[in-house]
Amino acid sequence: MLAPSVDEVVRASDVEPRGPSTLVRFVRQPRTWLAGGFVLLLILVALGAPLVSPKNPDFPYPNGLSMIGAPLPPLSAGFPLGTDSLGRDVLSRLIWGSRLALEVGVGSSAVALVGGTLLGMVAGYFKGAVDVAIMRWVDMMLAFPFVLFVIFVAAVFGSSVPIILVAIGILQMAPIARLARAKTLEIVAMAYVEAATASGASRARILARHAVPNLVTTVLPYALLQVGTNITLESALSYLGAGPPPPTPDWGAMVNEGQQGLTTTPWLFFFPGLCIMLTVVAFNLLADSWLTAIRATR
Amino acid sequence: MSRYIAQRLVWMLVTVWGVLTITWVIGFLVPSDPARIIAGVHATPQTVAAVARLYGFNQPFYVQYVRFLWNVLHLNVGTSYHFHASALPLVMQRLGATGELGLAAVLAELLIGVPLGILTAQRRDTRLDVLVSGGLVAGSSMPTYWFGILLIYVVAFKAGILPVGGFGGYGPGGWSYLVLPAVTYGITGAAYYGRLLRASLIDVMAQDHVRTARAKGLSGRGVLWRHVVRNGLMPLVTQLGIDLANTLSGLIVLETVFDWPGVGSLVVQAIDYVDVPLILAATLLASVLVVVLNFAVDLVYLALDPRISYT
Repeated sequence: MLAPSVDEVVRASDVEPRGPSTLVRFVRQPRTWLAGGFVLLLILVALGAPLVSPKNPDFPYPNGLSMIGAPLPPLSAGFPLGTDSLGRDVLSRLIWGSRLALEVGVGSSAVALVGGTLLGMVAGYFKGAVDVAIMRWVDMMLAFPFVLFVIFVAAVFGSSVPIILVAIGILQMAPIARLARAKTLEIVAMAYVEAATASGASRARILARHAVPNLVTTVLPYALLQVGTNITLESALSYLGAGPPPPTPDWGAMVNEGQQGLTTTPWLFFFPGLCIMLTVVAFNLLADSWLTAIRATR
Repeated sequence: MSRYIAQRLVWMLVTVWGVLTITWVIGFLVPSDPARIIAGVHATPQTVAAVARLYGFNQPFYVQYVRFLWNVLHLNVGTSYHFHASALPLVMQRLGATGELGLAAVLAELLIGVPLGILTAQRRDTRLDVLVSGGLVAGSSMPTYWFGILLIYVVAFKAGILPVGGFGGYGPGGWSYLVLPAVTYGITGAAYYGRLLRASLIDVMAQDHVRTARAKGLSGRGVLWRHVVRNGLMPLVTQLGIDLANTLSGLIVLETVFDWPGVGSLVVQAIDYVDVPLILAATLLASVLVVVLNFAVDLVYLALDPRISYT
C-alpha cells in the first residue's frame, strides 16, 4: 500500500468544526447584505464616476452661484445637493470623492493585511531572535502618534494618494502582525501541523498550505475594521489640509471648505461627513458580522 | 520581578529611540532645505549658508545623527523652524491644555460608554440593546472633526448655549469651553468601551460563580454589581491604557476643530513648514506616553489578577 501523502494526513487530522462554515454564517446575516450592498453600490459609483456624475466635479459653474455670488442650497435646479463657494456641483464632487476614500481605505488595508500577516507569521513560526526583532518593530509602530506620523510623511514625501496609502498601511500592519503571530503560535502547536512536519513537509509548504488560509480567516475582520479607520484617517488628513492638493474632490477637504461658511452654508460640511460616516458604518458592519460568524463556527 | 522591570525599562528606551530615529531619518529626507525655511524666502544665499553652518545642516548625516542623539539625551530635539524657539519646551508649554482636554475627553468616553455597556449587557438581544448598540456603532463611525463641527453648529451657533471654541483658562469659567470638545470625543469614542464591556460582561455572566451566586438567592442587582461588573471591568483597563496613550494623536484633529491651544493645534500650525524639530518633540512626547502607559497597564494587571506573574 502506498503511504498517504502529506495532504491526506493533514486533511484527516484537520477535523472541520460541525455546522455551517464561517462563510455560510457570514452570508446568512441580514446586516451582511445591507452593508455589503452599500459597499458594492459605492464601488460601482466610484468606478463609474464619469458616467454617474451629473456634472464636472472641478468646474466652477457660472449658474452655480446666486445673484450675489453665494453657493446654491440643496434642491436647486440642476444642483440636487447645492453648490460650493466656487459654484461647483456638490453631488458630483461627492461621487468623485468616493474614489479617493475607497482607494486609500481599501488600499491601506490591503498593505496592512499582506504585510502584517507575513510579519506575524514569520515571527510566530521561526520564534527566537526573528520573533524578538519583528515584535520590537511592531512595538515601535504602535508607539507612533498615528495622525502625526501620516501628516509628517505626507509633508515630506508629498501628499499623493500612494504615499498616504502606504504610510497608513505600514502603521496598520502592527496590530495585524500581533494577531497573526498569536494565531500562528496556536496553529503551529496543533496536531495536524505536527503530522505534516513528521511526514516531511517543508516549512514553506506548511506555512503556505496550513497557516495562511487559517490566518486569513482570523485577520480579515480586523482588516475590514481598518478600512473604516483608514477612510476616517485619510479624510482627517485632508481636513487638516495635509491631504491631496486641491481641486481633488476629497470628502475630508470638503468638510474643511464647508466649515469656512458654517453659519450660512451648513450643507457644505454636512454631506461629505455623512458620506464618510455611512461608508465607515458599512465596513464596520461587515467586519462585525464576519467576527460573529467566526465565533459561532468555533 | 525586578529583573522583569529592568528589562521592560530597557525595551521602553529602545522603542522610544527607534521611534525617534525613524522620524529623524524621514525628516532628514525632506526635499526642501531646512536652512532656507529658517532663513525665510527672501534671505540671500549667504544668509542661508550661514544658517546651514549654524545648525550643522552642511555636515554628513552620521555627524548630524550622533549630535541629534546627544542633544536628545539633554532633552533637546532642536529648534523649531517656524517658531524659532527650542521645540521641546514649546510643546511642553502646551501640555497643560492638551492634558486637560485629553482627560476630559477620555472621562466623557467612560461616562457614556460604561453605563451603556452595562445596560446593553443586562438587556442583551432586546430591542433596547439593538438600538443602543447600533447607536454606538454609528457614533464611532463618525469622523471626530465632522461631529465636532455639527455640535458647534447645532449647540453653539443655533442654540447659542456653549462657546464655539477656544480655551477658557483653568479658572471657574473655563469648563464651558471644555464641554463641546469633550462630548465630541466622548460620543465618537464611547463605542470602544461600551462594546468591550458588553462582551466582557456577557462572558462573565455565563461563568459558574455567577450562577452559584444566583442559586444562593442573591438578588439580580447584587449579582450584577458584586460579581459581574467587578470581574468584567478587567479588559477595560487595557482599553483605557491604549486609549490614554493614543489621545495625543486623536487630539490633533479635535484641537484644530475647537481652536484649542494644545500640542495638536501647535503641530498643525507648522504642517506647511515641515517643522521637523517640532514634530520630533511631539513624537517624543507621544511615544513616551505610549510606552509608559503600556507598562502601567501591565503592572495594573499584575496587581489585579494573581494568576499573572512576570518572571
